[in-house]
Amino acid sequence: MAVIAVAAGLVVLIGYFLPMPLLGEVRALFLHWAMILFAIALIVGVINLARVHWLKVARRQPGYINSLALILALLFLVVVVGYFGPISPVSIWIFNYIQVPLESSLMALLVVVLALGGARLFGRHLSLFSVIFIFSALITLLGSVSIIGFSVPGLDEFAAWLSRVPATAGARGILLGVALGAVATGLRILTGSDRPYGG
Amino acid sequence: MIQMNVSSPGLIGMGFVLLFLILMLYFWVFRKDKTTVVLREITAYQKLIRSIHLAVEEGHRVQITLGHGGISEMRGSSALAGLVLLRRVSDVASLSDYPPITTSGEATTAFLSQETMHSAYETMEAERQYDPESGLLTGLTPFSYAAGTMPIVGGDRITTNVLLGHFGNEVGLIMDAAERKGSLIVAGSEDLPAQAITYALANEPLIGEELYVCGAYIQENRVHTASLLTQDLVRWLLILTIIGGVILKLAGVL
Amino acid sequence: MSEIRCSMCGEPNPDDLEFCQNCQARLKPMQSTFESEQSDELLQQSSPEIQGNDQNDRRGEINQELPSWLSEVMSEPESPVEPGFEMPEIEQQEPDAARAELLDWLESQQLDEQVQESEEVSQGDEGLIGIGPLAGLTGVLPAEPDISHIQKLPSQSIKLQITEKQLAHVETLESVISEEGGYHPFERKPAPETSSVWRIIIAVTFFLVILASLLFGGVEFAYPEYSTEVLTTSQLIGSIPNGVPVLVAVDYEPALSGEMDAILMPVLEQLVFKSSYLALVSTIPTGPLQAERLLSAVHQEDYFQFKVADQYTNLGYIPGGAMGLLGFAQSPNQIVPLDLTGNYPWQNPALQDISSVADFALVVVATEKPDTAQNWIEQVKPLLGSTPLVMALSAQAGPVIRPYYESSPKQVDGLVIGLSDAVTYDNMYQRTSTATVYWDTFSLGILLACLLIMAGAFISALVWLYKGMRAASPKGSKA
Repeated sequence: MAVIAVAAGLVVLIGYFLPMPLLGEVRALFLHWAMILFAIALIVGVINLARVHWLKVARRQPGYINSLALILALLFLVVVVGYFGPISPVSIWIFNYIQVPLESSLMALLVVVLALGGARLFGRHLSLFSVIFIFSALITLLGSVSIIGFSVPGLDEFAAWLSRVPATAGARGILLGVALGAVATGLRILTGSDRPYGG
Repeated sequence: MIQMNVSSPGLIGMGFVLLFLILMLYFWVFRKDKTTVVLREITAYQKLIRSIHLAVEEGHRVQITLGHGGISEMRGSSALAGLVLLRRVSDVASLSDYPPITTSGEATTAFLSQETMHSAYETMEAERQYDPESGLLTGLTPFSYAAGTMPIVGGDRITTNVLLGHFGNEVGLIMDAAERKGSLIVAGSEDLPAQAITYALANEPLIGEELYVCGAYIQENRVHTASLLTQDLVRWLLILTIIGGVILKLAGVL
Repeated sequence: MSEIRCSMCGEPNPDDLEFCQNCQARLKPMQSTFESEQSDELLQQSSPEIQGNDQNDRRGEINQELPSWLSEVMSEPESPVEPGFEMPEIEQQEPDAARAELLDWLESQQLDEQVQESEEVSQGDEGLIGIGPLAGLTGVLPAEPDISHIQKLPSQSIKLQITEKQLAHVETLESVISEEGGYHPFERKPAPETSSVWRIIIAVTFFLVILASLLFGGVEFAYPEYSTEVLTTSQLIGSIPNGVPVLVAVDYEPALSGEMDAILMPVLEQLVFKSSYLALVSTIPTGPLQAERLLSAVHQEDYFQFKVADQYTNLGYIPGGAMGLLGFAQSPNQIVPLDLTGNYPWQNPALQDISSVADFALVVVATEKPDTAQNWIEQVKPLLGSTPLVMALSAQAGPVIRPYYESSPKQVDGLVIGLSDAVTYDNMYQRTSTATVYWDTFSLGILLACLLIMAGAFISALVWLYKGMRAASPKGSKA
């Protein structure tokens, strides 16, 4: 099994760098298979989600009412969307007036969470970096708005510079490190030397 | 004769990957007896190791959430790092009456988490204690995943919450729910906005690539240590390359 | 035939037997096998019921063959059993009576009574065994002295002596056993009590301020200045011919619809104004529905007189993330053969010439995630050729993607970042879209957030300093 996994990974990797016709075709075939597998995994994930909540309802575990609501909503959507179609007015109505408001509300909660987190950051760990963090956040926020008749000279330019130079530089550095870590993780998986799953 | 039109970016990329692989193998195979690696302290992992052992001894539970990143792209690499930690926790907690709980927001990650725990219990010859429902898929979109995870992180007997994987803004909601219950929060993501949120809200944030070195800090595995050494060496090479490129550009050569 | 009384149960047995018929106890001591006759005779002599005979001569002959210790035993005259340990005279009694008397004698030996001292065996009869299977023998390990010299045992109480420490251990053990299997409420470190209060205060403040601004208006905020990337983007879109196919990727989650709809709307409106044929696609499952929702909003604008249904096709969801993108970029009609209505879209006159993503006139990507934007740049841009790539991004993704726009050669040809760029876009074309409507409320919310963060940071810093000073003071250190 490990040999098959390593061989498939090597084919895709080498095919990405070396545009050989035969290798490219094999690589494209593998990618198409992978796309199909990911789509199937999505469906299996939905079934798994329903199964977990069904077991919770069957065993009357705490909070089983919420699980029952999830299962009923899932069944309802499968029937409605399956019958009317994914872009029918009914489906769009459900999406517009149920899913979007729900998720937007959760996003709105983040405002409270982040505002409170920013306010308590100094109480959690007061250090030079936390001071720089709060200072940068405030400058960026204040630099993005302006009140008629009231302006701080140079604030907009400083905010723009902060976003384009130090923030971007720091982001690039972090992304480089993340990319190195991702390459290391991928190569460990590819060589079969690190497989936390499957023994 | 096979004709190949290999572009220079392709050659550079392949060379980089080969260099990385060779260095990793070198540190792993040939330097295993000679390398004494002194790792810098990362308090997040120190506290994490301690809290895991305390959880086993005192009958508490550890919750690990792996985010909603699939393994088909780079965001999945952080989930794979989280699986390494999950394996270690499962090995330790197989002796406990309260095994760890894993949550994720992506189907393939959820399956891998279940398989990881199963293999850990199999290795410890405690397969009967494995509960497939310990690896949960709590949602299929980021915020539905957060909504499904929030009740779990504040659940009974959970004293440690580990968030290692791909998260978006919704990580703030999960950490807020964990903080309300007074649990230890160790969080890391490769996503930049999520890193900013974890820095503000987590007890012990993991910034940048600190997420990817958990294997070296918690497992003492040679291959993880070799990988870490390789990352450090290649990072220095990149730094020198960038500085060299800047100098050459300023000198008008490039 | 003479009989032998069993020393254990008192039953008479024929003297030729070695084991008692009643209780299987040995009647005669064990001996070597080659002198059995002599041993039998010797046993008879050692029995307390047998009278002593002068058999010295016979013994002398036997002694030459027997072991020395045994010959010594035989050479010594027998002596009667000394008083002090009187054997019951059972031979003159009936067997049952003798046995009963023996049992009574046994029963009379109480464990909790003091054992009487017994006199020692006389010197003249030193080593002579008076009872048991070795009775009559001398020179062997005496049983009588061991029995007769039993010392007086001190009186012992049958009550168990327990120390206080042992009692404490017993109580601990009992409590552990009684608690086993029971439910133990889990005690955890409580979260700060003030956090719930602050959450409510912050939430109520935001809600009231924003609601009041939406309903009643109030403070006006200046529109942002023109940015070069917005100008470049609008000029780029304006330069494409009318009625050409444009690929639009709606890659943001429903949670960020509030921001991303406002950012993407001006771009879409300009495209629709140019009668571009829109091919909608997404790499997230809810993206196609987002796209439908967006185009419905565009259709509701009064100044657009067109039938949206004839000017777009929704290709749906591309699974597999970056891998799916790469496959779609190489052969879109193979990866997405059908649209969301189940029809084959590549026969449409607007799309019939599309064989790869480079055949589109323009590619527009709307996303809030930096890594999604990077996927499009890394997987699709190399295959685009001369086709420009425009990105409509959330403010959080701007700093990460900006270097791709500012690089040479450009990897991103146009950028619209955040609500401010969307407002700028509106102002350029003298339109009022969602971004412009919400600009004042958005700015007020930003200011409020800044005030709250500054106040909270100031208070937290004061509390931290106070705690530090208190810990450093002598009273605090003692406490």
